[in-house]
Amino acid sequence: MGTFAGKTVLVTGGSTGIGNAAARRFLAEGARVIVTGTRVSAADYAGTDGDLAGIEYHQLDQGDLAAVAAFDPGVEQLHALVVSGAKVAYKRAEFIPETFADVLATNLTGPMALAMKFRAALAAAKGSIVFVGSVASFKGTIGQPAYSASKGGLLTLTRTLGQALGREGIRVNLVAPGLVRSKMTAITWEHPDRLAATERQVPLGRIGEPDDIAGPIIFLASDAARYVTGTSLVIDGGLSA
Amino acid sequence: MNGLNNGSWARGKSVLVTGGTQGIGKAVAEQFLALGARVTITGTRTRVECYDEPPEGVTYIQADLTWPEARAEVAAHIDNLDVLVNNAGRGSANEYEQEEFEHVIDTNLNAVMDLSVRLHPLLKATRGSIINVGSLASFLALKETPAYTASKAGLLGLTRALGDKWAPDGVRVNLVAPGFIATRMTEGARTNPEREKKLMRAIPMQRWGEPDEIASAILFLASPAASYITGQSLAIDGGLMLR
Repeated sequence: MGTFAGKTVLVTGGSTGIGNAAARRFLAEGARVIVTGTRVSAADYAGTDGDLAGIEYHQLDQGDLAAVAAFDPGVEQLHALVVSGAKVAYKRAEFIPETFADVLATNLTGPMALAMKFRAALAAAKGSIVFVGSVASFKGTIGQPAYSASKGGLLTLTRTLGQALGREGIRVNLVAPGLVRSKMTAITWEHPDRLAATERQVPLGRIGEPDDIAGPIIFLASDAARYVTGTSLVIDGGLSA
Repeated sequence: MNGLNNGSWARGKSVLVTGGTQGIGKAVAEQFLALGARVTITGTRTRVECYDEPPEGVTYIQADLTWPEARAEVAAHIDNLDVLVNNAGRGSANEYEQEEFEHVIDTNLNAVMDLSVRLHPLLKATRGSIINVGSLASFLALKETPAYTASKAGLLGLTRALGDKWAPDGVRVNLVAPGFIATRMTEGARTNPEREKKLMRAIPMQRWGEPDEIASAILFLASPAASYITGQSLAIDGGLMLR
């Protein structure tokens, strides 16, 4: 019997990377797992690091408020909402206001819309929300003003919703990964010199893997963390220690 | 997969919990025992039977860790270690008196440094981890207990420094920061309806925490599920620090 047997979990951005690693773990713990991704169908993730076997897939652009409003995965009780979907723009594109707004829509406004959409279902299950922040929730990232602002915003959103939803029995927490091997960060880890330079800075001597973040997400969503709310957990191999 | 429910990772592991006779320390000892770990605890009384309901099935060492001799003796007893939980701590009603201030710092901070350094070689051998029990006082001022506050804030800095220093050895060092937990230390407030009402207003989850709720976070940080986490702190406070 898994710790999530009989429970329902929704992971946005759960088709690849950290979100998929978390979804796989929830599945192994016995949960009904629903994920969202940007592609039309689960089959479109063939050849990625994502494994959607046993998982319910829905296409959703979480930065589109109308799409979030129309999204209906068929849940009355939701035990965990994990918001892992996010985007980032490179080559100084985030300095262009339209791109900035677009990144904020996906990384911050969308997560808030999802939290409000599933508030009643979460309250009914005494469930919890886990936002996937970043070490960029705490410090600047020189080339990504939108990504950094959105992740910093998620941190204070976590704290505010922790206050606001506590009485409804909904816990709200954030994980803050350091550099993790995923599609979004390939620009860093696929380059041997950049990878070596990064790993030299990490006390534990390696970049993170999606599963390094999945374990803490499951923990925060589980009963083992039932008195934990409004907090953030940094998972970065000691980089910011 | 290192599932949370599947505690097989802890089976046969050697765990030392300082101050493991009551409250949070006792809950930690019992949760590790339930997963099949070998648990040693320390307490200040002569024998473990001197406590009301001590954990069963543990090895007990009498030690007031305030004193270097006691720390040396504890370290000498341990020949294999996977997890060190630095839980023993104290507060005092007279922390504005210098002697008391120093006494509290000795127990809550200096003892943790000394014991951790003494046991580091054993933890390095097993690629084990340390969990320090901090407090909301690691982050906020408790004005009536300056020594407790300084010691717990110091413990946060110590956690970061040791986390960085010992990461190359594969030894992770983290801290849990409990809020108001239903233990002997908070009995005064819990039995005073006025004070309790005031405290509960400050907690979004509107209740006291239980020792088991801190223990489960400590077990998580000690587990392979937390293998990329070091030098960090985790607040377990029902949202108290949000206000």
